Amino acid sequence: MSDAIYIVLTLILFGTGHAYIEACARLKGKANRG
Amino acid sequence: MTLNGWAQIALFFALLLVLTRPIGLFMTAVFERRKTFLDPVLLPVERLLYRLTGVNPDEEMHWSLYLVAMLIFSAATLFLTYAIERLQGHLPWNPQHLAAVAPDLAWNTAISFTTNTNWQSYTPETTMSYLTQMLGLATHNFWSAAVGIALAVAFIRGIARREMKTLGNFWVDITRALLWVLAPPSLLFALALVSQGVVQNLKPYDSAKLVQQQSVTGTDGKVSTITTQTIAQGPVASQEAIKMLGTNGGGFFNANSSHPFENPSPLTNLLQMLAIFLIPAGLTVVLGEMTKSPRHGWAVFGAMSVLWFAGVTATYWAEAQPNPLLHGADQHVSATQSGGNMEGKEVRFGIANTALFATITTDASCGAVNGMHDSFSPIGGMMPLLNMMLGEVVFGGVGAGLYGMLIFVIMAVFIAGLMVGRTPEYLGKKIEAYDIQMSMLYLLIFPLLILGFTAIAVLSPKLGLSSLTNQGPHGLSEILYAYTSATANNGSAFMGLNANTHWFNTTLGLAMFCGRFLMLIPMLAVAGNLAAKKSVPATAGTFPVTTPMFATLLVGVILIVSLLTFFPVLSLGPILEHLLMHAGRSF
Repeated sequence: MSDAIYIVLTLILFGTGHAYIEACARLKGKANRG
Repeated sequence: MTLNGWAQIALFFALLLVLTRPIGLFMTAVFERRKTFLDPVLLPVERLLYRLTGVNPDEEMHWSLYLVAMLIFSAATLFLTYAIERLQGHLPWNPQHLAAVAPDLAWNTAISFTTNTNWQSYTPETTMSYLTQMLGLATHNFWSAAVGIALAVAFIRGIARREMKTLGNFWVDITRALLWVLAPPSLLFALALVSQGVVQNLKPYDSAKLVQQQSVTGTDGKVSTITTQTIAQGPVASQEAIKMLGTNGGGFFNANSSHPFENPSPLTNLLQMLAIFLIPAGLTVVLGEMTKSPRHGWAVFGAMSVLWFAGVTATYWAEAQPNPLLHGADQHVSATQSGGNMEGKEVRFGIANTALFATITTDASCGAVNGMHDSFSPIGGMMPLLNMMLGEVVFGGVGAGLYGMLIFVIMAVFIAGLMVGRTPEYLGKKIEAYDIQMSMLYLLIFPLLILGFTAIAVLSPKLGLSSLTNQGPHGLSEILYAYTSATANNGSAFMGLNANTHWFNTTLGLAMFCGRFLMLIPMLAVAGNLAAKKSVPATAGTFPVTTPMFATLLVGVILIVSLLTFFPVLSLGPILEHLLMHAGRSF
């Protein structure tokens, strides 16, 4: 059970990292328009 | 402080100065894919690896794709290490028949080694099999260091390139960092360490009969007589070499580089300290060469050196002072004793080399220790903590130190621009809103993680305070040090804190992950944005980034940002402890 918790947590963290890249890229578009 | 001690510190810096340029020029050639003396051996290996993995070495990557590749690589290697730890009881090279590592500890360790932190909530010689140490941990020392170098090179390309959308190829950069930069010196360094007495074998632990038997009272009150001692050993030298060169710091033994099998003599100690700074120092030359501004690289090197020198001076001074609580004891330097505070230090290294090692390892996000930082005087212990709080930019981790420093460079240029009322420029690139937004994000995540997690831990008697062995300001320093070390990806421990609990394993794991990945994402976003910009010619109003004035401003910005952020918590921890020590109280 604990293995599953930590595997899911890791996947969430790396997924967050990917979403964070997307957010930074989107912010660039906004900053350039501003 | 003694002349002998200062002479050894000066020798270290002189050797570093001599080695920095050749190492830097070599790395520049490697990442610009120019000819090197290792090509006849390594080029065929590189080509074979690309053929096997299907990598097109000529394909360039946008900054976001570069980061996605890095995340995929890091996730894959993290899961591999986690699996090895959990399955080690069923895998070979486990002569001590060590059981599987518990899930929370295995996860913490896998994150730790993936992020180049090498925080260890465990005693390696009683927890990790030889296979885990070699395949799970030592390999990660190479991988995580190579990732750091690749990212630093990508950042430099961002500064150097004009009107381009790409920063290079992650797979090519990491392969060249592994094959050219890390593997050859690690092999040579491991052999040098073996020649000096560092252990390298796959034998089961030996047992030695004690000359003098010892009686020990257990926690249950039972008295037992100890007649033998277990001599832990294993493939130490091969792990030790990359532990230093890759600024990883995770020890094969719990005592790390104070263990005689890891660091047997003053000579190995000097070599290990040099190995920590070698690649980070060389990368400043890479910065200068690739941006066609060698003097800028040396200006950054100079700023780093000033901060290093200030750190080692303060630590050495603090540790050379007598302890005021030891009334009547002779604590002066003489032919038969080192004087000052020798608690937690190895006699074969003394105060100067322990203070120097502590400064280097916390400047460089290495985390190896040759003495116990918890046993330093309050101010002596504050200095390693402060070094980490500067953001690990004083040479810093391999790659991570340089890109962290370059974020501060952008801030320094921005502040200089504000002072003279013109758009800031950095090596021909205008620094605009997005660059500053991303740089601020980078700088704000760091204290948010450290202070946030520390606050939660010290407010919880059950989760945080129950792990402490010291109370008062020293206890606060222990928790603060742990989260600072984790977030800064340093990995050294202050000791005195039982971090092998569900709470600390999980939150320190989160701090290490966020301290690595959530900081480098905005960092590379800045690089991508810079690469796409046009070059503007320098004018009389351009702030030069090659002068001592620039280096001074850079040092000032780093100190002001870090001290304003962390002074309140330092005043509640080591500074208060220092004042109370002189009032006659200890913790």
